[in-house]
Amino acid sequence: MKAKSSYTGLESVSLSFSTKSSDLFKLPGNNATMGIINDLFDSGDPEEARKQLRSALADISQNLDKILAEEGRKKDHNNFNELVDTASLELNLGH
Amino acid sequence: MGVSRDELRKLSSQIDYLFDLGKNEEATTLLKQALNDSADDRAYNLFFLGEAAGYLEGDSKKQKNYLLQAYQLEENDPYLVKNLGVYFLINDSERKAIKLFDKAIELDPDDFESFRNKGLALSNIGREKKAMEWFARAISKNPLDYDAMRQTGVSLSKLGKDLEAIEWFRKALLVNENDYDSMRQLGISLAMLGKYETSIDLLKLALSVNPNDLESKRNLRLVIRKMTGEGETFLSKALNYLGRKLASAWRRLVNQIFG
Repeated sequence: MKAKSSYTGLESVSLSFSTKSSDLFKLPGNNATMGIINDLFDSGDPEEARKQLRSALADISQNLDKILAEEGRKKDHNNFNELVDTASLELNLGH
Repeated sequence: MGVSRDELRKLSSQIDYLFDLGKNEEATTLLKQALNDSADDRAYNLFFLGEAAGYLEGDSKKQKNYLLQAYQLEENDPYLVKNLGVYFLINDSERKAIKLFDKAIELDPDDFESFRNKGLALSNIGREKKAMEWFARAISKNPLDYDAMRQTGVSLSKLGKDLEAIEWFRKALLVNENDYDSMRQLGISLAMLGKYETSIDLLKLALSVNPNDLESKRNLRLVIRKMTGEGETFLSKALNYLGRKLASAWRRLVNQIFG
C-alpha cells in the first residue's frame, strides 16, 4: 500500500463531465509524442519510452524556464511598483 | 523461512509500484508470488492477504481485518505498523494513522516513508506547514525521496504558492522522470498561473505514463474549460473565487491554531 495525495485549485463549481481517451487527441499539445510514449510503454519497450519521455520533459523544461523567468520578472516588477508607490508616498508626505 | 522479510518488503514495494501504474496483470502475478513466498511467515502472509483483499477484491473491511491480524501478531514490526497506518490514512482516519506512523518512527527512526506518511496525514487535515516539516525530514533521511518532494509541492500549491510548488515538482521529476503525479501537479500549478498550453503538455505527458490516471484526465478537462472559458459565467467565477478565498482562509486559520 502506498499513500499519496493530489490537489487542484482548478475546480469549477459544477463538475459533471467525462473524458474519453479519444477526446484527448482533439486537444492542443504534442499528441504525436504522447501517443508514441504511451505505445512504447504498452508494447513493453520501457527503455525507449523513458528516452522519449526524457526528451519530452527536456523540451517542456526549456519552456518552463522561460515561464519562471517571466513570472519572476512580474513579481520583481510588482515589488518595484510597490517600492515606487511607497517612495512617492514618502515624498508627498515630506512635502 | 524461505524468503527473508527484506525480500518480502521489496516485493511489496514493486507490487504497489505496478498497481499504481495500472499494470494490474504484472502486479497480480507478483502479489500471488508474494502470497506463496510468505506462506511460512504468518504475519507477512496476513499482510499480503490484506493487500490482495484491497487491490484485487476492493474489499476494504476484509483488508482491514487482515492488516489488524498481522499487526496483532507482531505489534513491533515497523513495516506492519506503517502499513496499517497507510490503511487508516487512505480511509480518512488521519488521527489513527498519525499515531501508527509515530510508533513506526519510534521503532525505526531511519524509515523515511513513515516521516513522509506522517506529512501526508497532516496535509490531509489541512496542516500544510507541519506537513512540509515532515516531508523535509523524509528528504533529509533520503535525498532521493521524490514522493516527499512532490508532496511538498502539493502543500505549497494548496497554500496558493504555485511558483514555489513548480520547483519541487521539477526536483521530483529530476529524480524520477516517470513520476506522473509530479507531471500532473506541475501541469495544474502552471494552469493556476494561466500557462495553459504548457499545462496541457504536462497533463498529457502524465497520461502517456499512466493512461488510467483519472486526476490527470479530470484536470485536463478543467484546463480546457479555463482556456476556452467554456461554461464559465460571472456567477460561477465569483463563487469559485469566494470558495478559494474561504478555503485558503480556513487553511490559514487551522495552520495558525495547530501549526
